[in-house]
Amino acid sequence: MYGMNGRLLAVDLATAQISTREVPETTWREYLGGSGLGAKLLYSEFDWRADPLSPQNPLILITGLLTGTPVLASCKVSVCAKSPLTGIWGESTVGGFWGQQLKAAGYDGIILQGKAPEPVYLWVCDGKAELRPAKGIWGKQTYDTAELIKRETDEKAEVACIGPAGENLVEIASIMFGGHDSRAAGRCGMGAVMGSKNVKAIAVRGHSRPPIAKPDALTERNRAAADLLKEFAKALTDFGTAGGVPGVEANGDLPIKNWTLGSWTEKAARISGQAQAKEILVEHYACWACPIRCGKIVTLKTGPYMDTVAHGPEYETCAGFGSMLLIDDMHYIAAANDLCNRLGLDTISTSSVIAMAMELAEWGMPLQGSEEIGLSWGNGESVLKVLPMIAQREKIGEALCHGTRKLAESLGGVAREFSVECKGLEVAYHDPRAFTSMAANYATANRGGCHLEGLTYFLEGGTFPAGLIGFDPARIQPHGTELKGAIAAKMQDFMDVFNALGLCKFLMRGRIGPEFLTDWTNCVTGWELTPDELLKLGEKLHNLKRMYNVRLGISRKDDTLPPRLLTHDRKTGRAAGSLPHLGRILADYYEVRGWTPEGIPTPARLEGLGLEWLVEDLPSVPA
Amino acid sequence: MEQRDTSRVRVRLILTGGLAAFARDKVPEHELDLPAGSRLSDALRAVGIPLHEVMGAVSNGTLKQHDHTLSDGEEFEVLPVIAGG
Repeated sequence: MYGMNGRLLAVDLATAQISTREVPETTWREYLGGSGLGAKLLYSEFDWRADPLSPQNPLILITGLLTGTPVLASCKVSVCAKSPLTGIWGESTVGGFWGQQLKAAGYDGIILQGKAPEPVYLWVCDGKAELRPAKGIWGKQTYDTAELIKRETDEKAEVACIGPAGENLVEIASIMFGGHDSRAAGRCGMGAVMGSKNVKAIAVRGHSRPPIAKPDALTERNRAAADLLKEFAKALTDFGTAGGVPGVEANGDLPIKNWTLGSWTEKAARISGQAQAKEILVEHYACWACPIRCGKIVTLKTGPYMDTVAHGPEYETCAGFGSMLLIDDMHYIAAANDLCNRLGLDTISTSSVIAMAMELAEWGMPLQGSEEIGLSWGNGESVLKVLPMIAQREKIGEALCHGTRKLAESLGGVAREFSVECKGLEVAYHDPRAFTSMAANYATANRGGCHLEGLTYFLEGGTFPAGLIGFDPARIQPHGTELKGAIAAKMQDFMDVFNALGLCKFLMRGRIGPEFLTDWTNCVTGWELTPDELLKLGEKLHNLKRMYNVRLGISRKDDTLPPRLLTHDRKTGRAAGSLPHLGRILADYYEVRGWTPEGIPTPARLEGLGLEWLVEDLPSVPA
Repeated sequence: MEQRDTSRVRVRLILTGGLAAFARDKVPEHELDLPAGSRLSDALRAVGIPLHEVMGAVSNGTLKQHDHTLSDGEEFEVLPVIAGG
């Protein structure tokens, strides 16, 4: 077996029993690894009806098939569970070095089951694992947690941990990786699942390397990929993802004032990666095996940790705490990002629910405690005040900590207008009115309003050549309905492959497509897959996750967009006048997928994908 | 009446979304005089913009691709590729 260890660590937290579980190569070939294998495990072995914060819901942390190998940007880990935020399939993918270290410690993944009677952390080192008490660490922020655990274990250990938000079961809590370097498994409330199990952290350290089937061929492919990244991804190296802010704004793709405005040109430039590079950049940061180095270390110039260095805000965070809240001061954005990382909060969902609170106040319906801290558009100080309240569930924080959907449900009436989410997950910050294939993606993405499940704006926005995935570039237009369903379906399949292989999607910035991913997979494993076979595996994994949701009652009725993104016509900017015609786009999407018009996979489709074992879980569809 | 040189086309480029930073002179607006038959890609090269940084350019409300043949008097709003996370 090449590339992986072929074994997972299974931890029963209630009894403190730790066991090793072998996973044969045939299973890897069928599900690849990462969130693909995570979906197989979650679907087949655990109670899908379980309350997400109950001991019956497992937390699965699993490396991709290629994670920790020399393949470029093979840094990703998938965190999978039923989401407490959405109540459906949940996954969150994270980079850094933790995945590489886990694999080097002899395991491909960890399954946490049950609930520990007292706070604990898991220490995994070179084939051994133990639970240790974490009472003294409980309550601490993530940077401090990582430092304390490294002192107790190994200074070179990689630590994944929750902050106060996860401990307090905040449904928008993240799991933070790498301590001060702050890579986040942000979405779907995975931090709350970890907190519900009384697990504060998982530290890993290893010294082995998974064997590679064809190392020379892999070196050659890596060289070719590195050349492409050097040519095409330089801006990402120089300015990070935040360097995309001005271009996103120019295309009408930037959400402004809770998705209501269409342009913010000069202010977008002020919060961009380019502006950060001039004023606060200290150095660049790379994840495992990545030549891009898109991570940024910056100096904080405001907030409670002023004059310290911190992980710089990424694009999504600049949009969330910047344009979404009308804050054009990068220093507040950087400070809010740092606080979220310390507290263990997802910056996307957190900023979205704060935007909703600001809009409620503007409409004369301020949440209790909102005026006390001055929560209003453009007020950065008020944002820094509210973040710890959310993590601690204090005062107004208790109203915000469940995300926008539950806040809207609790308020009723017009409040739903200000809640911008799909299936309960706050929509990430690329606008489906600017690139309408994103309407199909957001509406159907298995974890809800997730941009990374489709990344179709990379294709429609010129970053990723359409021809690499079988579309005629001449037929690609940002707006309208043509091809949108097909683009979303194909790109979702491709993204499922990325998540299963454990590769960073920013490889696409170097025009790295299915052929490269196939070559890498074959070099590492010795298999002989074709690009079509790899994409079909992606389609299989997408259908598997869809079936997890179908079993929970998800169908076409849930595949929709929030009202603001369906019908709110922004009057300015490049996407003024553009609205997604979701009915047409979804009908095309279901047809491409081979699903019924109600959005249910057909038995024939499942059988064609090697998922015949799921047919019995389908609702009874009339012939 | 001024005689129009049909062997040349004059076009105007407006660089948006930070693209001006890639231009040799860092200026966002450019008037260009190019041989007839030139394409949008030729105009972009003339001001020093890497083609892979450009999604396309809007002219008369329509998004044009890199291989669009320039017409005399055309004005383009040049859009950057989409980045971000």
